[in-house]
Amino acid sequence: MSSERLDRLFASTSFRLSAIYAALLIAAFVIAGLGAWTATRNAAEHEVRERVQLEMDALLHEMRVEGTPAAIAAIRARAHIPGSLDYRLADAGGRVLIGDLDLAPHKGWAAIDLPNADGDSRRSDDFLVLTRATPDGGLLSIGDDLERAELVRNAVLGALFWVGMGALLATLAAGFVVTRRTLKRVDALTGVVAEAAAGNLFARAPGDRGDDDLARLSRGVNAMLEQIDALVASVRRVSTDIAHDLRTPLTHLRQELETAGAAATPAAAAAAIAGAQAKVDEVLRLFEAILRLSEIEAGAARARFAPVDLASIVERVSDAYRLDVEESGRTLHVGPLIAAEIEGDADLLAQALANLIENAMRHTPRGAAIKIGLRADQEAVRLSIEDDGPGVPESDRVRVLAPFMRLDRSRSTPGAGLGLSLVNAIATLHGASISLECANPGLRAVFRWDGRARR
Amino acid sequence: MRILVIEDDAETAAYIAKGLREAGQLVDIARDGRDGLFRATHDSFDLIIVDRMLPELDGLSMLKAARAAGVAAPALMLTAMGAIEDRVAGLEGGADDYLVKPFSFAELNARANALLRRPPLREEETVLRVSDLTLDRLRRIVRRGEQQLDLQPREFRLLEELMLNAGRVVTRTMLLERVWDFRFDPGTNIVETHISRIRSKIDRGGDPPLIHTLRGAGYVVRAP
Repeated sequence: MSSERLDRLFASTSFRLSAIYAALLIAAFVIAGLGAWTATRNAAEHEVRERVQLEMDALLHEMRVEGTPAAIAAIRARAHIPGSLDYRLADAGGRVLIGDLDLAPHKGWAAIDLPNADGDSRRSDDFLVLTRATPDGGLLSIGDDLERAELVRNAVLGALFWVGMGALLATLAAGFVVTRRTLKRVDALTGVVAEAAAGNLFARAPGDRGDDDLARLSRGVNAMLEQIDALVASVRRVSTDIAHDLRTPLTHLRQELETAGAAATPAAAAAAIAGAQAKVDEVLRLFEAILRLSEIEAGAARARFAPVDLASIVERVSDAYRLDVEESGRTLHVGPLIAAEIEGDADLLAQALANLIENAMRHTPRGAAIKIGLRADQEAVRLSIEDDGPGVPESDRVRVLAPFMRLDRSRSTPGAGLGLSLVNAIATLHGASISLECANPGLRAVFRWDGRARR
Repeated sequence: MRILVIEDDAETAAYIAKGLREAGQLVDIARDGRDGLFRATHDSFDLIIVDRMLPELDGLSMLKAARAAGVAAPALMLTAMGAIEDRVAGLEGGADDYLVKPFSFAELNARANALLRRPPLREEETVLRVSDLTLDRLRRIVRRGEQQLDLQPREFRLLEELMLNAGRVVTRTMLLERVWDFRFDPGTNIVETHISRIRSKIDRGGDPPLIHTLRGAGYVVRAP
C-alpha cells in the first residue's frame, strides 16, 4: 500500500472513528486499572490491619496471662514461619528484647518505608506497623508489609494491560480492515460521481443492493444520475427536433430567395418573395410556440386567472373551426353544453381546444367525425375531444404529450410537434389532468378537473 | 397625422418611420423611455408607438407616466414574442392596442390607422353601407342591392368589422382578435375560409366584388 493511500486511509471517516474507539478503549482500561489498584490496595491494607490487630491482641493477652518471657518465646517461634509478621518487643527502658523491626516505635498505626534489607525484590516498601504498650511498660510493635496486595495488584494490572493491548490491537486491526472495505466502496462511489461530473452520465454506482448507509447512498446517486440523464436526453432531443423543424422551412426560404433573385419578371419575383415570407412566418410560429410553452410552464399566467365558462369557450372555438373542418371534408359535432365554470385563462384554454381540433383534423382521413363534449357532475368536470381516426397506440400516448413528439408515422404531416405539449402544459397550469384514451377507433383527449368546478 | 415612435433599436425605428412616412404620416423618433416621455408630454401627437422594452424607462412605466400627465393620444405597444402577460399589462397600463414582434409593416400600419381614426365616428351608425351592400347592425340584416343575404352570426360579425373599417386594411390577426377573440395564431385558415364564404354570398351573380384581399396585408372592403 502506497503512503498516499495510507494517508487517505488515516484521513477517512471510518478510520477516525476506529481511532476514537481505540482511544476510548485505552481510557477505559486506564480507569479500570486505577480502580483495581485502589481497590486491591484498600482490601489488602484492611486485611493486614486485621491480621496485625489479631496478633497484637493475642500476644498482649499472652503477656498478661503468662508473662513476658513466654511471649518472647512465642514471638521467636512465630518469626521462623515463612511469611510471618515482623515483631519488635522493647522493655520499659527501650531495650529491644526480640524482633528485627528496625524502627523508632510510637504508639498506634504507622506506615513506614523499610529499606529492603533482605534483598527480596518483591518485598514492598509499604509497611504497616502497630505499636502498643505492653503490661510491663514496654512497647510491642507488630508489622506486615503489603507484599501480597502488591502481588494481586500487579497480577490485575498485568492482566488489564495485556487484555487492553489485545483489545486495542484488535480494534485497530478491525478498524483498518473495515475502513479499507468502506474506503473501497466510497472510492467507487466518488469515482462514479467524478465521472458523471466529467460528462459520462451512463456511469452508475456499484453496490446499490443491500440496506446499509452506503448502499442507500449508491441508490440515491444512481437515481439522481438517471434523472439527470433523462433531462439531458430530453434537452438534446428537443434541440435536435427544433433544428429539424427549422431546417425544412429555412431550406425552402433559401430556395424562394434564390428564385426571387433569379426571377425574370417582377411578378415572379414578388411571388417568390411572398413564398419566402410565408416560410419566415412558419419559423416565427415555431418560435412563438416554443416561447409560449416555456412561458406557460413558468406559470406566470396563473396570477391572472379569472372565472371562465368552459361552455362558452367550447362554443367560441368550435364555431370558429366548424367551417374549416367542414371544408376539409370532416364533421364537427358539439355535444350538449352545460355551464361549467373554472378558474383559468380563457385565451389559453381556447388555444388548447383549438390545438386539439387542429390535431384531430391533421391526423384523421377525410370523412372523419370530430366530437367535443363537456360534462360535469359532483365528481369532476370533463372536457373531451374525440375523433374516429386511426388513433394513437397506447404505448405512445404519454410520449405525444412531450414537446416535439410526433410519431414517426406523422413526420410527413406539417406542423411542429408542439401542439399536444402546449395542450399538456395548459392543462397542467389549470390544475387539470389530461389523458389520451382510445375512442374505438380514434383518439379521445380528456381534460379532467377533479371536484374543482364551481357550478 | 403626427406619430411618436419610441424604439431603442435604430433599425426597427428606421423601418417603422420609413413606412409611416411613405404612408403620409409625420414621424418623430425617441430612443429611450425618458426621451419618449419628455416628447410625449411636451408635444402633441396623434399616436404613440412604444416598445415594451426600453432603456432608462420601460415602455409600460413610460406610458403610465404619460397617461398620468394627461397624454390622451392612442398608444400602440410593441411587445416581445411569447410574452402573454405583457399584453394584458400593456392594455391595463394605458395602451390601446399591442403588436407582437416581429411584425410586418402592413400589420403595424393597419393597426396604426385603426387607432388614428379613433374616436370612432361610425361606431354609432346602425346601418353600414358600402356601394350597394348594406348591413343593419340592429336588425342584423345584410342586403346586396335588394337581395337579402343569409349570414351566419359569425359571418355577420366578420362583415361588420370589415365594413366598420371600410376603405382601410384589416389584417388577419386583427380579425382573429376582434371577431373570434383569439389571441393566438391558429394553424388553419379560419379567416380565409370565412371570408371566402362571405364572398360567395355577397358577390354572387357577377356583381363587382366588394371584399378585396391585399396579399400579405389583409382584407379591405371598398366600393369597386
